[in-house]
Amino acid sequence: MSVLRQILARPLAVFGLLIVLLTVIFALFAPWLTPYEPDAQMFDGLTIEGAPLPPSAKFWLGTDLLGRDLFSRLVYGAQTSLIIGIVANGAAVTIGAFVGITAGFFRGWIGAILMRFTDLMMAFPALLLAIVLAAIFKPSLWIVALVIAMVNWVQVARVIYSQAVSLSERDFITAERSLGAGSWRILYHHILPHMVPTLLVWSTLGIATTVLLEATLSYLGVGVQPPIPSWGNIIFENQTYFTSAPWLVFVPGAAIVMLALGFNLVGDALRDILDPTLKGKN
Amino acid sequence: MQQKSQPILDVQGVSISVKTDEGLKQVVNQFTYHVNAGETLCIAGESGSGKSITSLATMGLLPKSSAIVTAGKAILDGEDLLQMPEKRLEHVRGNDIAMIFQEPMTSLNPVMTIGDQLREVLRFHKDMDGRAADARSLEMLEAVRMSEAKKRLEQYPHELSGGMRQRVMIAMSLLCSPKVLIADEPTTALDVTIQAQMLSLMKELQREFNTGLILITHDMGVVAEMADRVLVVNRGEMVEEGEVNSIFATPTQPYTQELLADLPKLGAMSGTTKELAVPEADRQAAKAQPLLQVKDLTVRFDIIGGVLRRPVKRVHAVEKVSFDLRAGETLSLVGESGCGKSTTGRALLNLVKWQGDIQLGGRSTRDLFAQDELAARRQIQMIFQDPYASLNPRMSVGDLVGEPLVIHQIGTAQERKDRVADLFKRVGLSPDQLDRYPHEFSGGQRQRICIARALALNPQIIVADESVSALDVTVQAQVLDLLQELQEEMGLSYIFISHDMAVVEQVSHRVAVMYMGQIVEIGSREAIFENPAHDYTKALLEAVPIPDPQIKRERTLLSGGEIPSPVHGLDYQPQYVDLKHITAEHFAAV
Repeated sequence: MSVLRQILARPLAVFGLLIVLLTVIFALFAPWLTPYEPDAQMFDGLTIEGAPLPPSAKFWLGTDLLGRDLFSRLVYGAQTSLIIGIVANGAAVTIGAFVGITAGFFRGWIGAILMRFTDLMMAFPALLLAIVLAAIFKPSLWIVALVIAMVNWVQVARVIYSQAVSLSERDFITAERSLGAGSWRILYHHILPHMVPTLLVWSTLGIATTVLLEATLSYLGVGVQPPIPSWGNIIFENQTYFTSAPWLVFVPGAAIVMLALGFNLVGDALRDILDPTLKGKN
Repeated sequence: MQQKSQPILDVQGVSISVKTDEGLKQVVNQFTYHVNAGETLCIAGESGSGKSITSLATMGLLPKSSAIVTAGKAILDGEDLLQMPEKRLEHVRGNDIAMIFQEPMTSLNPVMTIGDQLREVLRFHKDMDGRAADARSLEMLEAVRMSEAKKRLEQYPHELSGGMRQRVMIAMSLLCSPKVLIADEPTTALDVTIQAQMLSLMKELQREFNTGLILITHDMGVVAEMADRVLVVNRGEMVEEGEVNSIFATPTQPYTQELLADLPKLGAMSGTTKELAVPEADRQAAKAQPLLQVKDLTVRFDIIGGVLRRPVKRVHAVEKVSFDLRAGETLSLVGESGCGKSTTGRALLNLVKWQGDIQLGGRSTRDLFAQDELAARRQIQMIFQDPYASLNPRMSVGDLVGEPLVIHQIGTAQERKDRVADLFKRVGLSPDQLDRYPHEFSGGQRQRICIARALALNPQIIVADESVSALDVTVQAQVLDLLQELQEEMGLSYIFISHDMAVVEQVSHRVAVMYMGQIVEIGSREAIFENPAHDYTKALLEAVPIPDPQIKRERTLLSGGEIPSPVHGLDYQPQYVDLKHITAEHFAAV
């Protein structure tokens, strides 16, 4: 595992890996890590006036507007956010890469149709599209992930397409053809490896935007349905209390930022480690 | 005639370091030189010699984030350019000291007309009003012998050819009559005939304006042509400085001697014949039955445009080209950019769509490629111009050289490994380096890797497309030697595509001169170089700079023509040239 060893040699990458691992542990072991049920509304979770409680020894991160323990909701919310982030974004990157490569490398009329369709999707407001899709299907965690993937693949396709076009014009591709290499060989050995950095960046950066899109959808009532917690819907449920109980927005917000940062740091490190053209330079 | 005594620009002990991950690395060590009014100083050296970065430093154009001047002065009119504040530098640049860059397209602003760009300089430096600036711009364009100068003022850079753009650059640099003009490889990106025009133009203008010219070049032919004094630099060190005649006649330093010895000289092969690289007994047979026969090869590309994505124009890249290639022979295709020589090479490998007939060993390659593409590719291989661009940067060189064997499923993994190691040794590289990546090699080594890769399948024919053009002369000489050795040893045939007449003379058995997609003259090396029949061949030969300062060419090419474009309308009917028999194997369109 020389890749893992190289990651461990980079302090920033280790930091990123720790964040990601921590989130995964939260998600997997949520029932054992949380002091309360995530949807338990507690009588002593609110002040006499009915306002949320600030962080204390009893409620580590305070309570939300319904008197539920924020820490427990946050830990359970990691499940939702991770699933959405990884599944939805993974699907978006896969679809985008597939469309981009088909259109950019194989071209032809199928490629032309695919790219015109992509342009059409880009022109369409993403949020509106997501709302329409989410309204057609009954919202569940997996449907939300699917909807987000259907919206987010477009940018990936565009970027991968232009990269595939410019790569296939490069001299070394002509050189491969002159050796007798077939299209699939060229695609697998000579085009795809060059797209690894782009795909890694999208796979990591995209997680942040995906989590945010999920939050937006939840806010509009077509995302993950309450009482299931997700980092996004925690923020939006509580935003009216922002001035009196800012932790209710800041803490889950920080969680989203940290998770995105973690994936980005790991992604950056992977990109450098997997790039042989940097060999001998650092 | 001119006063040459007073140095205008005096560079004293300039050292420059660049920032790397490991800290500062010195790339220029104590360069000291000067240039007088009306004098030409050539700074000659190969890539990485520090010749360009010094001049950028004197112009105050060093990228501050990556390079710093660690010592030295550059005195212009009693002021040190290296200590000057940016505001004052802005005034001096363009006014007292100007620069011409290598790539005229990227040095001009693509969204401004030529006139606007010229006027802007005058407005900034001379505070001229519109009409005066107009007049001055026009005057300068005429001074650089621009055809239809008035019309050019309203045109954009993309409407002009490379040669015309470089004329604009020269006009712009001379607008304010600078005392010093620095030209960094001003003709390297241009075709030879255009290069000849530019060099004579620069010479003429220098005389007119009494400018001190610093010409930075890698081409010793250009040095001999232009220089009064020469400074030879190598790896950031000054090697030798002196008057041009003495540098060429009696170079004292080994590096200068090597540089001059490795220089391909036109006419060096005069009076010699080159025998085919096959056993003597087979020579007649080889002549009688050519390995490759090309007949009426035509390649045209449609330019798609408009809303309907229909063809609007057509590039007539290659028009009815016919030639033979014999076993063990090197046939060179020479010509300037856009003449169709590279496209011809690509058609031979079926990399572009073509019409006509190509017979390889008596079989039509059209059938061969259709029935058994791999078998066809085993017989004919290609080496490209830019070795770095033609190697996948993400694969180790061992995998790259072994790849043709994998594609063609030759041998077991171990056998392939041994073969790659053999190939590496054969091209003069160590098999220890198999696990490295292309960026870890130098330009010459990379081209050796490309050669090894082309040899992996034991082809009979190798198409070498400008394969040594991107290399420094000393490296170029080594790669050419390797190609010749391989030919003698293995009886290889080469299609050698090049624009460099001196190199072509050195390697060819026969030469075909291409112009506007057609062969205008074809014959043995002796015939083409010693008895050229077509005017274009003569012009090509005359345009080559002669690396001997004693021989000053007659300059008739001042305004000169441009190379015509091969792009025509859809209904264009090409005019075919008629090749006439001159002597035994020498044909020309006369």
